[in-house]
Amino acid sequence: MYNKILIPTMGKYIHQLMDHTLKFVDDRDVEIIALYVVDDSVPFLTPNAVKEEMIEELKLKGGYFLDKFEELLDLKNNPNISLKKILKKGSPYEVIVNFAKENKVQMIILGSGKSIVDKHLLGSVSEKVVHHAPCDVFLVRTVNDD
Amino acid sequence: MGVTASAIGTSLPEFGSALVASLQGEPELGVGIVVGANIWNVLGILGLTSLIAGFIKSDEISVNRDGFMAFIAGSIFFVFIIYGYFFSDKTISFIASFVMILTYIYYLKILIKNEKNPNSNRTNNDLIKSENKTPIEYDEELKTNNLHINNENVSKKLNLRNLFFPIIYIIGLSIGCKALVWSVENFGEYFNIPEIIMGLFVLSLFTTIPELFVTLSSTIKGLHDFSLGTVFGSCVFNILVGIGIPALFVKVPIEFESIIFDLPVMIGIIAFVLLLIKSNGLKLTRSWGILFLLIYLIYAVVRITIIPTLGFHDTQFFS
Repeated sequence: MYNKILIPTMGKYIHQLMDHTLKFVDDRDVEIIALYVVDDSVPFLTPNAVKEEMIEELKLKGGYFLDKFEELLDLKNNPNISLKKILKKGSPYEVIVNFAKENKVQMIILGSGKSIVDKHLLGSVSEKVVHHAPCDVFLVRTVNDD
Repeated sequence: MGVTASAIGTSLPEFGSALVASLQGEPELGVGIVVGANIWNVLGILGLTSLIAGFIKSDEISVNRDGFMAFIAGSIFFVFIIYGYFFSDKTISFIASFVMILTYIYYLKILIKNEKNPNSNRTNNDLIKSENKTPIEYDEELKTNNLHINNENVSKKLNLRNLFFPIIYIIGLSIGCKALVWSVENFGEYFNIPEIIMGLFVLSLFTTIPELFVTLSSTIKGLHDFSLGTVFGSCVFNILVGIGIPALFVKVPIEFESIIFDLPVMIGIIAFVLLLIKSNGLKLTRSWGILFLLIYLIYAVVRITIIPTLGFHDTQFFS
């Protein structure tokens, strides 16, 4: 049960997510897939060159967060965990949900994310994933660590 | 070149409109667009962005290089304006525009030099350190889009596009700016609103829509350096190029209101926001955003209702 776990990360709350994941996994053999989604949507009137640069910057950022994720996972001391690091492009919630469906993921672990005000102003990826996920979702109650 | 491309790309509507307005004999409108766009960029766009996104983080480079340069550009412009008003023919001189353009070229050189220096990109360094770790599986599209790895291939492939797209873009920009300036000008005439006010508050807001969108979306995506770089980089471009280039072709008159109010406000708010970011741990919060919007509102009310009644137009101060 829960041998294939998907953890989408945007860099924020990464320490809190990792703490809960390690406690949840304990000493079971688990495959963890860390996923960073480069959000390629840009508003109307954004120059194309700027869009491409933004995607490139986000890709570099994503690579950094995935490496950070691996560092925190401490694979040497947790040999029961195997890790896959994936970097994809698209609408974050759609990519997360589709990836979970296509790869038959058994659980998605993600952070509860933004405050109530931010959720109303910006929308919430976590909320959409909770409603559309094809599997169980472990929602970690995250607190702002800025 | 992300921040540079963003700062220049989003500032082209201001530049185009200022140039069109100046060339068709309304240079005051052009100055209004530039000064108004800068005040709105710093107070309005940073205010709205921190209000909606929750906060804007900055790095030392955005503040020390782009922010400081915006302050310097504003100060250079102010010095030339004072010189032009009190010691010359109340216009921005050819030498002033030449110096402003040269200053921008120097700033561009610094930007390009920083971009070429691999140590300026911290994210790249972090990636290099991680060579021995589990490899990352990339989307097919992201693999081919890698500008840093396939730089040469991409630039060869884009050669044809690079040739035609700027021409189409310039034609489109000219038509758009001409139509915008024409409609705003007629609107102003119809309601008897002075050109400088139309430039400061109407054209500037329209032409900074790209900055607003890019700043807001990059902050929401966590690209904070991009947002501050876009705002301050646009301010530098607007002043040095947006006024520098039109002043090469036409005589840009200096208004007394600009000397005693608009320019000091513009330079003051750039300095205020920079100091605030520095003293606040390089972070702008939602409450600061609300304060910025309030300051903008006060500026607009004072500029539209109080300043014109003081009669600076008719009074020949110090002359």
